[in-house]
Amino acid sequence: MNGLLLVTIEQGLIFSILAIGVYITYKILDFPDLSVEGTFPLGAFVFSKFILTGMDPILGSLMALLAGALAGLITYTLNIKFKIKAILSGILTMTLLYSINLRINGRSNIGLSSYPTVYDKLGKLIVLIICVVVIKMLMDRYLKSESGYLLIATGDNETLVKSLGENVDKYRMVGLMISNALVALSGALMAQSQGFTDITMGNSIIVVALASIIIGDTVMKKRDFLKGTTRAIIGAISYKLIGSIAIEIGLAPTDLKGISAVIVIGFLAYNNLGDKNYA
Amino acid sequence: MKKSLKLIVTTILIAIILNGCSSTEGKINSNENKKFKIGIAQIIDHPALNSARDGFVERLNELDIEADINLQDAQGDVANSQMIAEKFVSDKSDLILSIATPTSQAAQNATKKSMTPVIFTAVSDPVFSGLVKNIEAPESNITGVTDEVSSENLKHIFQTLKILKPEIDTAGILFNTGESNSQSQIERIEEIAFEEDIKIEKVGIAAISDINQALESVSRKSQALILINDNMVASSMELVASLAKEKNMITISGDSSHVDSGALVSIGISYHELGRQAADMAAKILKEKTPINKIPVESSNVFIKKVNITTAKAIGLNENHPAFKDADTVE
Repeated sequence: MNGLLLVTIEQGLIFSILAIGVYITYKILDFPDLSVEGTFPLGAFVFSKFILTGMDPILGSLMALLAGALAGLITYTLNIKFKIKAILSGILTMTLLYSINLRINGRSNIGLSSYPTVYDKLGKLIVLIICVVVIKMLMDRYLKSESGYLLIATGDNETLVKSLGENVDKYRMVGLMISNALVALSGALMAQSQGFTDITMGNSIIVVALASIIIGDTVMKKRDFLKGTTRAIIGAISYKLIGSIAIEIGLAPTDLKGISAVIVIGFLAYNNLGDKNYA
Repeated sequence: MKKSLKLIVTTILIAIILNGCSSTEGKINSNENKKFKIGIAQIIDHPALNSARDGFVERLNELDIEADINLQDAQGDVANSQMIAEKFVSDKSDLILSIATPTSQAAQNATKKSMTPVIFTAVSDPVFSGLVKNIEAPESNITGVTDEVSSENLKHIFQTLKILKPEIDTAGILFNTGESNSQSQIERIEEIAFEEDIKIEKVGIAAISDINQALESVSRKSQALILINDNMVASSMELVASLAKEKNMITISGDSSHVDSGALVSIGISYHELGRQAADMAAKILKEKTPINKIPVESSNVFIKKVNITTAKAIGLNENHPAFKDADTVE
């Protein structure tokens, strides 16, 4: 298979996990969580720290997951306990994590190419497909459980959850922790896939996540059977595909981001205009 | 569940088809006068990196290497740099020039199977970044030019210092005690200083507000200040430079941006030259077919001097001072 295409799909799958994470805060909890810009590289740095000390890559990735959950807890504490606005809590966590990420290994860039990765045994594509499918199924199952329903209700109708005698804050905390844990895992998988960790890898990652979710939303939006998690996966792969087409077309290098944006706008416009015919 | 899985599979299939359609370009004109395919991967649009790139292309032309150059800029997005590297590999490029560390690591990762030669430039520490294990004999498909401040460069700094103040025996260094990067720079400077018979007086700071007192203490023991790449000191360079000027101290650095912020003189590498050096390496690989393990990682040996005329006048130095010969100037 074409190398560019393969790496596009691999990155799309990695970003699917990121998108599922952000889907929980952005769509379900209605919480604009910007801290992912810090949690994504946090996962990569935590993973690097453990792999450099000789830990197993699977365990290292799980440590990243755990670190992400802790970062979610920080945002939750700032927002709920210290009553700081959601968007500012995220920004504060992100800013805090920037320094923490640099401190974890004492360097802003770590080469990992000579260390083992979770992909070693089965190959990147297969491992990533397994990861994404397992995470998607676990999330779908969780969202159908009692706790999951209450999580959804917390975003939709807080009063209802309160009237049931449940604590809304608890579900906000759970949502933020799961979300950031997934984002950090995605960062750890990314670091292993690209063979290095860099402090800039979180830059504008929130844009990637939101664009993925929005693109996913517009795909066959009349069809209810598509779950949010599925839409996030489709969106992330599509978004990466758009990026790779922009690279493949090879227009002026300065225009890469612009072209990606134009293609996304094209998708959205096509979808929205197409809607009129059905209405 | 089944339906949604189907849809994911369809998305992937569409991806394959779309990509297949667009990758028809690039027919290689094989026989006569082989034109090489060179991919240049740059991490972000930045003056220093741009001049490295321009130097590379300029030198290639001088060497009469005909090449189809495909320039890609990741626009600061690390994930993009990975895709760009993969594109160069699937285009069957003869060589990849990677500018800065993340793009170089991405190129390394993408060429693991194809072993396409990769030349990096503007990478400070290729060993720590995992690009090569042995600087003298790179073991894989990667070599290049680093932008570290070399011993040669440090020697030039001390020599200029001696021309400016022949009687000098001590030079001061300000550094942030929290930056590990600064510690290692100081150790190297002390080694060279020992050879040059100059004593180093280092003063640690923990916050920008310490700079005033620290400089006061340095100025009592020395008449010159060597500026290192310390983030705290660099970010308050205007302050450091103006305090030093008040005390009539010489400020000397390896980084020309310090001179723009008011330091007296810098002797440092030129990114344009780094690019040209990388092109010489490319010529060895493409034309002479030298194996990469015979091409050691190099650091630049062409140094550019830059002088701040305003600062020079303020501390009573003439702009035609022999130490400033051939220097670029800034007001």
